[in-house]
Amino acid sequence: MLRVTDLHVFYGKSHILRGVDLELAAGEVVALLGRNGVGKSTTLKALIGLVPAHQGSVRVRTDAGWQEVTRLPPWERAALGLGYVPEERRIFPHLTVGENLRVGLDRLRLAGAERRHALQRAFDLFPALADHLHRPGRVLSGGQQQMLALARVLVLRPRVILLDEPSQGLSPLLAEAMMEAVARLGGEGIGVLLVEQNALAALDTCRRAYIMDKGRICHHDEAVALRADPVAMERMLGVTADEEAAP
Amino acid sequence: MTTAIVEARPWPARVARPGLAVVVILLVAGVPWWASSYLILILTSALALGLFALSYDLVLGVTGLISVSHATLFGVGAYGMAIAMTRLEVGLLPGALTGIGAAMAMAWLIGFFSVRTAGAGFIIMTVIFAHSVEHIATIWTSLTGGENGIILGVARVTLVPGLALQFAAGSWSAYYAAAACLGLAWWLCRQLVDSPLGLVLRGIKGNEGRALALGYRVGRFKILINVVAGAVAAVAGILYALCQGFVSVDLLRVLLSVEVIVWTILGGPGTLLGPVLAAVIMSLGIEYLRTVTHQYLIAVGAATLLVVLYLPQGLGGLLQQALGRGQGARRDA
Amino acid sequence: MSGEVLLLQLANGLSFGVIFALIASGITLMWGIMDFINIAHGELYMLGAYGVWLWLVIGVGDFWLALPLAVMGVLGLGLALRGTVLRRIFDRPPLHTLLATYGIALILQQGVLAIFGPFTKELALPVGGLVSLGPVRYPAYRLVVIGVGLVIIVGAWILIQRSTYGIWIRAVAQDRAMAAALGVPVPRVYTVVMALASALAAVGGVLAAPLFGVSPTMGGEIILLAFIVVMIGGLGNYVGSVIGGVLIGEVIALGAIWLQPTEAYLGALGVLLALLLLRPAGLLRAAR
Repeated sequence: MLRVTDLHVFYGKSHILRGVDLELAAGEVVALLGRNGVGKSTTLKALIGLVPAHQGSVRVRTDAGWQEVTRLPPWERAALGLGYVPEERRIFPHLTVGENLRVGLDRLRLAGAERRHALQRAFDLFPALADHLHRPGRVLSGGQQQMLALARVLVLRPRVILLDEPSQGLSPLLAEAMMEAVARLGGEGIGVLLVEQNALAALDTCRRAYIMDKGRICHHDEAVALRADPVAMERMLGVTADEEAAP
Repeated sequence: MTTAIVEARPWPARVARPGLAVVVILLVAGVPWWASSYLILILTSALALGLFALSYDLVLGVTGLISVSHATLFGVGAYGMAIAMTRLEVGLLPGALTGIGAAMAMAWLIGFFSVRTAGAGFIIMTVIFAHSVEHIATIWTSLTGGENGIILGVARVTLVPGLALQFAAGSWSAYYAAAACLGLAWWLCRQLVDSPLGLVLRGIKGNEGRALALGYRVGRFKILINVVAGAVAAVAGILYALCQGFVSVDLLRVLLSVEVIVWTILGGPGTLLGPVLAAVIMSLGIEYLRTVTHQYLIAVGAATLLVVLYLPQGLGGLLQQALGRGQGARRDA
Repeated sequence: MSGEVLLLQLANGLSFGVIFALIASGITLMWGIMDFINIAHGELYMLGAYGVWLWLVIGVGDFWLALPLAVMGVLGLGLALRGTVLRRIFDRPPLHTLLATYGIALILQQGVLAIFGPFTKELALPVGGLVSLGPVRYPAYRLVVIGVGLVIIVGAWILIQRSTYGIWIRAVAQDRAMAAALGVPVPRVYTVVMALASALAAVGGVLAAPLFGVSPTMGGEIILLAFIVVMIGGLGNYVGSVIGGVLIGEVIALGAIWLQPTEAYLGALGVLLALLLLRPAGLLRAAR
C-alpha cells in the first residue's frame, strides 16, 4: 500500500531524515518506534506532504497501480488514500464535531446512502461521537478529540492511516480503547503506520515494527521477536526491564 | 558557519574607497556651476529625498520596523517649520527646530504604537495614521493652507554675523545644504550602525525574541530609533520644502510613504547607501515622467508592483544572488 | 436636534453601514483566511460602480439588470488578478502584499482616471420617491440599499456556515495545514474566497453608485475606513466586520448631525483608533 524509499528531509540546515525506507501492506499495523527526537513525527509529516522531501520517493498503491506522490501537495495525497492524524490532534476548534467530519467527507461527494454509511463506520468505531455532533471542537475532552481526529480521517475511506501518538495524554483505559480501535482498523484492510512512544503497547497491536535512530531506520523486525528481546529493546528504545514488568 | 579570514587589503583597494569619495564630492559640489536653476532644484529635491530614504533605512533596514507612515514625519517637519515661520513669524532656525520637534513627537507616537501591536496590524495602523494626518492637513485649511499649501518665499538664515544663507526655489544654498546634510547624515548613520547601539538594533531585526530574552528593552530601542529617524526625516522635509519654496500636502501623502519603502527595498534594506541611491535615481525618474505625461502615477504603481514581484531583495540582493551562486559553488567544490 | 433628524440619520447610518460591511467582510475573509492584505479591494468597489454606470450608458435599460452584469465583470477581474499577480505574492510577508496591492490599486485608480476623467458621474436613482418611516419621509432607494445589502450579507453568511466550501473556508482559516492534510484543495478555496470577496465589494459599489456618484477616487476614500472596520470586528470574523461596518456607518451618520461631514469622518477615525489602542485584538472576539 505504501512504499517509502531513501527519504531525506531538512529543517533549514538540519538533516532530520537521512534516508528512511519502509513499507506497509494493506491491513497491516506497523509501528514506528524510537527515542524522542529521532524523526518519527517528521517521517509522518513528510509522508502526508506537510514537510517537503529533499530527496527520495513515496509511493502509494491505488486502484490504478503504484503512484508516486513525493511531489504532490497534501490534499492530493489525501485524495489518493493517505490519512493523517497528528500528535496534537488539531481538531478545528471552532467547527462542530459534525463539521469537523464534513471537512474530509464532503470532498468525496458521496450520495446520501454512501455518505451515511461512511459516517456510520466512524460512529461504529467511536459511538460517543454521535452524541456530540453539534458541539464545537474546542470543548471536547482529550479523549473525545482523539476519537474525532481519527474519525475525521476514517470518513475519507483511506487506504493508509498515519497515526502519530494516538494514546498520548489519554488515561490508560482510553489508551487501551484507542489501541483496540487501531487493531480493528487493520482488520478492515486499512494499513496503519503507528508512531508510538509507548513501545510496549504498540508492539501488542502491530505485527511489525521499525525502529528509528538519528533519522534513519536502524532495525526492523516482527513484533513478537522484539518483544522477546528485552536487551535489544533497552538498547534501541531506552525501555528498561523494570518498565516492561510494570502492568 | 565558516569564519572569514581577514587579510590586510592590498593598497589599490585601500586607496580606491577614499579616492572614490573625493571624486563623488567633487562631482556633487561642482554641479551648480554648470546646471540650470531648474536642474539644481530637482537635484536638491532628489538629495532631500535621499536623506529621507536614509532615515527610513534606519527604521526598516536596520531595525526591521515596518512603518508606512514615514512620509508623515517628512511632511510634519516641513509643515512645522512653515507654520512656525508664517503664522508665528519666527526665523528659519527656530522654525526648523519646531518642525523637527513636531516630527520627533509624532515619531515617538508611532514608535509607541509599534510596541503595542505587531505584524500586519501595526502596518495597517501606520497606514491609517498616515492617511488621517494627510486628511487633516487637507481639510484644516486655516492652519495648513489645505490643498494649496504654504508658500515659503525666500528664507534667510544667518550662520555667523556677516555670513547669511538664502534659501529659495532652486537656490545654491539649498543645494549645498542638502548635499552637506546628506553626506553628514550618511556618515553619522554609518557610525551608528557600526556602534554597539547599531548591533542591538540589528539584533532586534534579526530575532526580536532573542533580543528580549537577552534582556534588552526592545520597546525603548524601537521608539528611540524611530525618533532619531524622525528627526532626520524632518530635516529632509525641511530641506525639500526650502528648495521648492513651498510646502504642500504632497509631502505627507501615504503615496510618499509607500514610495520610500519601495526605494529602500530596491536599494537594499540596511545598506544605507543603497536606499539613498535608489531614492535619488527614482525620484529623478518620476520627475522626468511627470513632465512627459499626466498619468505618471500609473508608472509609479507599476514600478511598485514590479519591484515587489521580481526584486524583493532589491538590486543589491540580485547582485548578491549572482555573486553568491559563484561563491557557493566555490565553497562546495 | 429633533427626533426626526435622529431617525433620518440612523437610517442613513444603516445604509452606509451596509456598504461598509460588504467591503469589510471581503477584506476580513481575505486577511483571515489567506493572510492576504488587499489594499486594492476598494478599487473593486469602485469598478463595480463604474461597471453599473457603464452598462447603463451602453444601453442596458434596467439598473437591476446592470447590477449582476457589473458584479460579474468585477468578479472576472478579481479572478484574473488572483490567477496572475496575486498568486505570486500569497506567501510573502505582509509588507510585500501591502505594497503590491497598493501598486495595483494605483494602477487601477489612475487607469480609470485616465479613461473616464476625474469628474464624478451621477446616476439616476433606480427607485425614486419617498417612503413614510414613522414621522419622516425617507428616500425609497436607501431602504432598497439596506434591504438588498442585508439580503446579500446574510446569504453569504449562510453559505459560509452551511456549504461545503464554507466549511472548508473556515477550516483553512483555523488550521490550513490540517485542512490540506484532510484533502481540502487549498488553492481552490482561496479562489472561492477571492471570488466571494470581489462579488461582495462589487455589489457594494453598484448599490453605492446612485447614492454617492461614481468617481475614480471612491475606492481610495473608503478602503482605510474598511480596514478600520475589519480591525474592530476582529480578523477573519465575518459577523464582526458586519457589525463593525454598521457601527461605523452609524457613527459617521450621527456625527454628521453635529459636525461637518469631513470632520465627522475624522471623529469616527479618532474614536476608532482610541478603541483599537485599548483592545488591539479587535473589539469583537475572532469567533469563527
